[in-house]
Amino acid sequence: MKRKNVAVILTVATVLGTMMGSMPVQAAKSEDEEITLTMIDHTSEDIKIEWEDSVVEGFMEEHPNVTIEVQRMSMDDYTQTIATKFASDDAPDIFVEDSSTLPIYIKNGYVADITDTDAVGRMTEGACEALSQDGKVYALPVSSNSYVVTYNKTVFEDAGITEVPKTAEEFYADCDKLKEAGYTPIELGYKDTWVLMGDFQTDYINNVLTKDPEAVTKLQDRSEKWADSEEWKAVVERLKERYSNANADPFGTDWASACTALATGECGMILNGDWTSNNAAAYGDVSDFGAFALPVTDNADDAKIAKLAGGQGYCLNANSENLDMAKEFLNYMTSDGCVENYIENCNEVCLVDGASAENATGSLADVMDLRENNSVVYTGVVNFDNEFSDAVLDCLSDYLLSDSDADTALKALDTEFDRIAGK
Amino acid sequence: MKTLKKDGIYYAFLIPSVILFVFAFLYPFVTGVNIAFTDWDGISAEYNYIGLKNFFDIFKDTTIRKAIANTLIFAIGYTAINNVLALGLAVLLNQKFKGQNFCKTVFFIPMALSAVLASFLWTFIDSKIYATFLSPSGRSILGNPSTVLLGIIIIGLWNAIGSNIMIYIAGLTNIPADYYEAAAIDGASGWKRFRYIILPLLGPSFTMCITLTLTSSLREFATVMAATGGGPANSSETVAIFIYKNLFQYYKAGYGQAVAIIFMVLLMVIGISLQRFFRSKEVEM
Repeated sequence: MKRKNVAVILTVATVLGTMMGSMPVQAAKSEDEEITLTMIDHTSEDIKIEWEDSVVEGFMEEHPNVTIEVQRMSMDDYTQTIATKFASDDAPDIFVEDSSTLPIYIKNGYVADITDTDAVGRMTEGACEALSQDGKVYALPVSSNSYVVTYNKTVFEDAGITEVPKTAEEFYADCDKLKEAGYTPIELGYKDTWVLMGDFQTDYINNVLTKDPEAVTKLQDRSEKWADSEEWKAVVERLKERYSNANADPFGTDWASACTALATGECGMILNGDWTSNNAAAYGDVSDFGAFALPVTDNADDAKIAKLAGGQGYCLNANSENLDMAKEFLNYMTSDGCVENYIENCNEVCLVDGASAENATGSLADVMDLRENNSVVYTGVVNFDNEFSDAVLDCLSDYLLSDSDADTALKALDTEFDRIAGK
Repeated sequence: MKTLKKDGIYYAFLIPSVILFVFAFLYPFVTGVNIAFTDWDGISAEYNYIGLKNFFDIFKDTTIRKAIANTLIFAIGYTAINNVLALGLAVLLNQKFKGQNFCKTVFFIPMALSAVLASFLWTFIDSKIYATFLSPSGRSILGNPSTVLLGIIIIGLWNAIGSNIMIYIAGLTNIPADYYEAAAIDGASGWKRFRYIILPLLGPSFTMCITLTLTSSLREFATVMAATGGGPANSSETVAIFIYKNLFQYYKAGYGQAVAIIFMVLLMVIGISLQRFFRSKEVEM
């Protein structure tokens, strides 16, 4: 009898213990109230992680009652995790979104308006435009990326290429020189599907969107068809031409392997965002890389890059209990010390007003020069929305892996876009 | 009253498991069924009921057909190869020879690795060793749409064949030696012994192995996601990955849930049908 009673008591205690463990602990109330800010992002480059950590540590030193808990994850996990956290009312105070995914969070009232913060006031003109809606800024971009051809200077020298190509003819002639010298002209890491999109964007952002900022929007709302556009057809055809100058196994090579190939001198070039240099720097010397605008015509003056607004930025949870402190954190992020640290260590264009990279080397120096002297300002939509983006990747992958021509690929794109848009 | 009190004590021990079952399975399941009838995007605080629209959309969706085709090709191929190979290896490993236990261990060790780790390992072997040194075209197995499903099957086999080998070895061990002796006296050859003694008496093992292998391979997600993400060009996208994309990437949680429910019902029908079929073929010893 006694043993049975003990067994019942233990069972009840186990059940109660489980329930008690899930009850929220009441926050301590005091004048210097302890505040915890939670931050989730998908920063992957070591140098940027170091910068972020230094900003967090610096802010916590200035605000001893504040603790910032940072959680980082891969981009694939991030999209799913952040959506689940908002749906389950467990959202972080600070998170990151880009211009294509931000609208759905704004629509649901999850993102705070940060227009009136000091941080936004310190940004260069137009820097926040891609992350704004109806005149209100919803995310703070620290840097802007450009889509360029990143090349290995030593490989180019060894192949007898003394100047970067300015025309399409020179570009393909240089590809031939690289092949003759035993190098892979262009390394493609399409196993990570975003790399294919980055390659595609290096062409269409600089050569289609700069002429028609609504081009992506028109394709998505179906007011324009892929098959009716000579510009899009040309971009698709050029993709296949570059593919024929690439490594033997693009869809079996991931981004890390592609960056390794660039850093170790196995290949000459990678087409993607200017973050290529930072990623490849993990395997080589960052000063060995340079950058140039992808030439697509035989007129050297056409080889320009789009000077983009910030495409991705730090957002604040509109329903955060510590929204004011989170805004203070953003302000601190754009303070002089943090900006100097960013320029010195992150090797990227900084969008804070007055930030200069006088001592920039390697590809950053080339990118800054291109932005200054050879660019077209573009602040519109850059990315396709998620399902449309996947459709682009699937159709382009099919096109590259088969013998089909550009017209077939464009028809396939129109079929998929019509399906997604419900037409 | 006494019986009730006595039984009540035993039922009390079930309370933690019941609570876990309700919160970890029943509640999410019922919520998921509810979501399938809505236009929920996966992150909004509100949604609207849209009746059976999500279910009707499944039949109009052309992209799901490739996922279904990939899933069937993978599942049938994987189940057939897995069970034939596992049975063959079990027969070999059931013989007495030097190093028998070592050989058994070699086949069982990969089961200790997760599907994700196995995928990373084989992805490295495929791209750095096979594509570089052995592939005539320089292309990897996983980077080629015509061979990617074969690559996924290889990864799955390496990772999980050990469990079927164990079940078949247990089944072989349970066959009484008398049957072998009688067959030897009658002059039956090795193949005849296998065909008329081993195969019929392994009925229960077939029921378990084939049913479990087919239903789990139809649900394949982790290996494909880690190895290829469903690419290249959707050539390895399974139904599970299709559901995942709709739930978490396309902000179509209601539609994704509807596909998941239909898929669950189909899996149950296939599982129960297979089990009944193989049970009817089992021979009593």
